[in-house]
Amino acid sequence: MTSAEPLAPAGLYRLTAWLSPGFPVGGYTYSHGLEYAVEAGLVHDGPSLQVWVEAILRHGAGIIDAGLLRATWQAARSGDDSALADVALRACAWRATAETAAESLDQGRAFVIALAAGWPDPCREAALAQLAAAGIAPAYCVAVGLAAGCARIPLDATLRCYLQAFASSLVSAGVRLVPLGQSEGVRLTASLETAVVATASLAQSAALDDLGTSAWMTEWASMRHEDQYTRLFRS
Amino acid sequence: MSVVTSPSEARNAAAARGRLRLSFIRDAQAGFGAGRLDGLDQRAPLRALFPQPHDPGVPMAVIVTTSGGLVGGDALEVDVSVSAGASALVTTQAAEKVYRSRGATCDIRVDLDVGAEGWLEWLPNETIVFDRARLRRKTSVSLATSARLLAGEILVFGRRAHGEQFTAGAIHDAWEIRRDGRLIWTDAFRLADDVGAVRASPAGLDGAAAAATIVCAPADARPVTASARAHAQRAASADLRIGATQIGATLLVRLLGRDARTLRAAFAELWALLRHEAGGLAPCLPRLWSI
Repeated sequence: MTSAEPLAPAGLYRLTAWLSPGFPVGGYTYSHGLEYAVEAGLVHDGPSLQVWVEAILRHGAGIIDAGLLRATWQAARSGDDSALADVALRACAWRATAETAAESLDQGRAFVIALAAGWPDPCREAALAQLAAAGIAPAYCVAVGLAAGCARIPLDATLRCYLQAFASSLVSAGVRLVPLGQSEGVRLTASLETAVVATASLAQSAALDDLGTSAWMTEWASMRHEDQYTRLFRS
Repeated sequence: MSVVTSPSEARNAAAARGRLRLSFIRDAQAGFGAGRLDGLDQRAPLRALFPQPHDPGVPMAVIVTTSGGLVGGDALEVDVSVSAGASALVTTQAAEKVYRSRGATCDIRVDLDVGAEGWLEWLPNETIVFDRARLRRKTSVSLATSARLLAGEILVFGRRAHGEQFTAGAIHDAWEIRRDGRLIWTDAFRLADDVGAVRASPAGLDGAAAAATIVCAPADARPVTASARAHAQRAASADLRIGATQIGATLLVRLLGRDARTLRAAFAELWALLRHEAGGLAPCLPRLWSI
């Protein structure tokens, strides 16, 4: 029950709508610590931005959130309420910094509200009600995994779209912060394709317990961002 | 494949299964917050020594690994429990060495359990992960409602004194903290693929020789986080990155250093500050740590 199902036209439509930069989750207000990395001179041009974003995808929040999304999707598809509560709680707890925790929870909350307005779904609403009763707020990756699982949208496409959206949002933040030209931004988005696809694959093949991060400099930058004097981004 | 590089690798065939269980209870006669050892169960290569306490009324246990290092296949279990109202400080006698492996993983499990109004300091010396070593460690913490904790670990990548780097191998170092049975923070450090590139990357470990984590669950995390952050900013440099953040009611501090000894000194300074602010103890470390 993972990738055998084809991506139906409605599924493709929903994924692209839900994960587009225009979907009201406020993705453009978060930099995941990148704002401090630019301030500190660690990210200063296209190549250094690419290294930074690729590290977040492969060795940072990217792979962890993808693993949590997978576990959520599977719990939703199999109707396993207890597994869903476990992974949802784990997703809240598996946060590296105060601001990246807020980034995840705020977007999760906004995503749930937006979906309720546009795509009501009894499966999803029941699961969310159960999480709320247990005092668990859905992290963004959990909210997306739950929505896709309930809507029977295939996991592999969901993971790739989720990570692509994350990568694009980081590139967009970097383009504004460094600053870089639009064509440099497009070139970066293209160059991250391999990392997005590889991270989505790893999230499907590896057990959640075997995943981990080593992009500590990106976490350090997020910690330092908490004290940054002039800031445009919330993380 | 080269020949055996450390004498301990010869033990590979007979992997060690060490176990250490320590439990501390409140010592009613010695006053509130005081503790004493209640239970001890040890199996080689793990042993515990009990020197004169570093702080009055706070029993101290010092863990010794009698094998002189760990190899792939070794499995260690350390279980420390502090009952309601008791306090304890648990440290190690020396740095732990994890030797290179031909494939098997060295597995370490640490379980820390603190009862209501209890205080536990888990302050091991650094773990030196030799090139091509394979280490998997999981530290699980269980805290009662008003329990307080200060815990940390330092990882050193390769035998720096020998000019060795950690170029290949695997490290998976996970944390789980539960409060009243509910998971409040979890994390896993993983260094296994592209080890050299990730260690060198300015977004990865930025050339660090050592990395450390400190977690502190005080009664009130806000002032403790503010102190840790102010200290971090004073102590940090381009060769020593220190970050502090508060996740829920837990303080998390991360250190990345290009020189392992400098990192260790900074870790010790932060520790002294935090044990004072979160535990009300003297802002100095046991003598074993001052060397």
